[in-house]
Amino acid sequence: MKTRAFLLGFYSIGGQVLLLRELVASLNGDELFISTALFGWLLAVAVGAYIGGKPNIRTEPVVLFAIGALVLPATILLIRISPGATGYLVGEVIPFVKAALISMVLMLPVGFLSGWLFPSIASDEARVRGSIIDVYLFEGIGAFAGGLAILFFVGSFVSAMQAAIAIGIAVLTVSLVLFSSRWFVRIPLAVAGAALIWFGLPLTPPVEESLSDFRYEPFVVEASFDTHYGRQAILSREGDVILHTDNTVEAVYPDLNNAEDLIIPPLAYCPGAENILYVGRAEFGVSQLADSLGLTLVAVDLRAELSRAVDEVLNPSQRLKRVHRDLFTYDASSSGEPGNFDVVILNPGSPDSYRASRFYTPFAMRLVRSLLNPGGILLIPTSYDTDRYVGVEEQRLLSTIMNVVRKEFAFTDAWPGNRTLILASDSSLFYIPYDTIAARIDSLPYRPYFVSDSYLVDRLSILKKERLYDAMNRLEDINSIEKPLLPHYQALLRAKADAVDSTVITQVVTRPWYSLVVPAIVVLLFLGTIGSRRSRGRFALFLFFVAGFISLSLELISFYVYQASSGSLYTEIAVLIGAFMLGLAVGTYLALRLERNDTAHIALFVLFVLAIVFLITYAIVPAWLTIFYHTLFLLLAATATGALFVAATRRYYGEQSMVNRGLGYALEIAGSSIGALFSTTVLLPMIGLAWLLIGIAAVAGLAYAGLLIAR
Amino acid sequence: MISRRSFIRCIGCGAAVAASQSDLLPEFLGGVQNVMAFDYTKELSSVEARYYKKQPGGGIECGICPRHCFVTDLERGYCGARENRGDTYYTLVYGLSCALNIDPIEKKPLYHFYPRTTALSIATAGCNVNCKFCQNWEISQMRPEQTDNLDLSPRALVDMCRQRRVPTIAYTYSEPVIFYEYMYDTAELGHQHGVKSVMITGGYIEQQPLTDLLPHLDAIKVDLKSMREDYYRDVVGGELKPVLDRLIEIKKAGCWLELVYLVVPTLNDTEAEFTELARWVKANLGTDTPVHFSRFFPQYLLKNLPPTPQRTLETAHEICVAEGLQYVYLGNLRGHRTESTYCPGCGKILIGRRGYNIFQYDLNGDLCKHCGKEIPGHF
Repeated sequence: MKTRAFLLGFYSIGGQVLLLRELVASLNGDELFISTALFGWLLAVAVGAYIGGKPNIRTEPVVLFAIGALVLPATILLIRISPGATGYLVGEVIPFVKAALISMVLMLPVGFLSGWLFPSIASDEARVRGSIIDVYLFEGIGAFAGGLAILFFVGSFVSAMQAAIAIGIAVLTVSLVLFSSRWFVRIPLAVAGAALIWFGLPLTPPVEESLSDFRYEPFVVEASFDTHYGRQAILSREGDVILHTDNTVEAVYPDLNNAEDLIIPPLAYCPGAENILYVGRAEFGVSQLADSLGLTLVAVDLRAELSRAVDEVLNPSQRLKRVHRDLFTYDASSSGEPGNFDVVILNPGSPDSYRASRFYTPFAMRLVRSLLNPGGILLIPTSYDTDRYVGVEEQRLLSTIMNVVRKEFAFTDAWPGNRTLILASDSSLFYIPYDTIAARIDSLPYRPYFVSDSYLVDRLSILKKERLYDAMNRLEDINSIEKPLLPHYQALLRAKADAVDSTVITQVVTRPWYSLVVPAIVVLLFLGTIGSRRSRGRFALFLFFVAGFISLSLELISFYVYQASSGSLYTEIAVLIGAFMLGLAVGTYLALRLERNDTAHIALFVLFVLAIVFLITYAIVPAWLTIFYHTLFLLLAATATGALFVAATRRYYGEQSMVNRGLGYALEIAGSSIGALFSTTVLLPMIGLAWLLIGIAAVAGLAYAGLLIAR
Repeated sequence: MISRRSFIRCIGCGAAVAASQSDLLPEFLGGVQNVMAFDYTKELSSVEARYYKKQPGGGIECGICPRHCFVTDLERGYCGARENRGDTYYTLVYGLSCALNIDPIEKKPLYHFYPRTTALSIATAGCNVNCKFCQNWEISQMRPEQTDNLDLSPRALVDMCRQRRVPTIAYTYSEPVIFYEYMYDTAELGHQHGVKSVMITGGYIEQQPLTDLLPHLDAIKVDLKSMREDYYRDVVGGELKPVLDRLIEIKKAGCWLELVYLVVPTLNDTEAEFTELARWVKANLGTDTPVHFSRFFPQYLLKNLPPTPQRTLETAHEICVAEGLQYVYLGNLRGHRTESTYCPGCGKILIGRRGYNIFQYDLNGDLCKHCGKEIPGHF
């Protein structure tokens, strides 16, 4: 049973991570989408656990593993062809609500099977509560191992599809081996499984290439592969090279319009600039243009694998220095580059995720400022079209971004246009007349076409500039780590393109009353379980829910804060996930060994204290201590959660035998799904990090109070 | 130690207090309350629309465009800018311009219509089609309540032109057909005061409204989006045939006409389509009708498509020239010779363009300075 539980954890975490990656890549998901898809997954697990746990249902785990082995790669295949299969044109944006529904449907089979496997494995033994705790413990260990395997192998050595096939074969082989007790069956089975993985995986790339050709047709696919950070495709058509990242166009070569927009405007104000720091992919025209202007360019982007693939298709400038780091961990002086830059071009893309929106915070502005020479210029190119009109949503986004920039820089400017540019400096460089701008651009060694008097006279007309300034002064909002507003604002802009999205997203994001759903669910569940005659046992159901809700909320908060302050570093995020999974296992084990009656009290007290301590300390942790701080925090939070699950299991299941063995797990997962959907995605931008942590502490406090009442 | 019952009672009291202090809760939740998607308090216009028929059983049929919306009481047509109130049809956007700019006429693009001049460009919210690539979707696909509107009567627009010495008013960005009454009255008033009018349209308009409007317009630029009916159905949300019919009528009426074809990669960029377009223009509008091929940039619902490759645009140009069209232009390409106007007689540059700048102008009136050939258009 323990090995099967381990396999369940391995399969479940693998399925979850791989499917989420694929869905985001195929349906170009944003922050709201990720949480909705995660919610769908967890809900499917909860339903699977509940149905599979009914006493009259008995299923062999090996059958479920066999189905799961086929369903996981098949689902990935379906996800990849889903945009075309659902009638969308190549390049067409899929509206949020439809994408969310597609994701929920496609998450259902693997999630449901993962849920069903839990009671199916737990019912191997007569001891009810012991079996549930054992499965929970070893599932956690399996998830820990699976998570680390996915994080280290996918993107580095194997594609998501290969990983899915390998996981499927591995779990099926091991469960078949366990099914038989004879060695002469077991050994050939194990060898066959290993051989299938060893010889079968190399056959996958040609199939995946054909799939990519089908998916991107009529573009020519030059390369298509996974990185740690998403799915990449390098396409070509009629001589143009297109970089597709998670199904969106990230860059095109040649796109002179874009390259000039990024390089020329800072030079109009700072003609003597020599060193440029570019945050983004520079090979698609930016580095070539910088080269022809005699500029030194350092480009910071995490994706080392992408550099190799791009070099096979394009010839980036010899002067380009690529640094495969996150900007937040980039130390200019230690890398041998010039310590300070004359120009920093910050091009992280639209702030539709927390990963991108962290670049538009006062914290990031301070960081950028420290990289600039005195009199240096920051340029932020945005995707917002303000040439003819500034929409309400753009007003909100642009004024929020501008407020952040103004907070750290004394002087700012903005250029309207099909792409709005924000410029900032500590010096008063921007008070020059239009004629000087045009003359300076004219005197450059390279004569620009799009950013020249031919177009600028219209683009920088007083009417347009005044309209843009007016729009940027509409709101006083600041996007910060404490309250990241931009992903919501970006979601509203995106939703505007679809009537259903517009209604749904506007309701969720702009009506704060919707956030009361969470406390309402918590209070109703609390009252429903504590008010019963059999409250001692039934109150454990609330504890299951609380364990899931608090643990997932704290996990997501920790990831968010870490990423926002230290950067999206792949290996370090892996350490954090690993610490959390390990904590779950440690908590379960400790609670099993100690056999104390007050385990739940201690666990809830620890969760309460952790939330409060995190609230007080997260902003003052020194940079060098951050990773240790979050690792310790997650380890402790997960340990308390694991212990709480054990305590709840003991309390609910007691000595019962004919009982739904999946119910407690289902409720824990349901709590997790609520946490996934609401905590960081919906509530964080609405109420801010402080209130969110206080709310989580309050839930722990409520559960503690319930324990005192329902003795 | 409190009892279970008293604890529940405490929670109930707390909730009641919180509910009674309802002013506090929204403040606590704070966030994005200043966000308003719809502002239903905005005042819209209520000028009676033209070209509609009351239906015997109630409701009206709009006759401004080939869509012929049947609109019941308090409902709006497809465009969202016209509303039935008690079986009287009203335009909601009369005098409510949501975009106002002074653009170079080359930006429209109109290359044979008073080059080097400017146009006061206006638009209202709404559109009678839904192009997936729309550059102005934030006004064209919105309702008038969702946009920031300026209160600008036809008189105010004409006065603005005269004060700022802008010779032309351009009805543009969204689809002017849906603010027909506003456009008509402004154009009529403009002509009385020497201000010209140009319509930048998709050409999806009924015959009678167009016929009535043409005497008040000086030029029309039509976005011919494809030569395929299925493209119009799937990507544009309209029909091709009425557009082609209207193009012929515009040409016959003698109003200056230029065509724009937006080349969207993978969707309408085949050589066969360019050939069909060239042949149709030659046969129905004449070889002297300027045709502009525009570069697509990722917009609206087609954000995940790349811009049009330069080679595709050059292919379109080559095909049209080979088919005999005399004035074929490519936009948004660096220093491309196809931005300029060449004399079909002597082949020399007549109007040398670089972006919106004109660096060479070799026309005497509407005659080539070099060979004296008459060049069609208004110069």
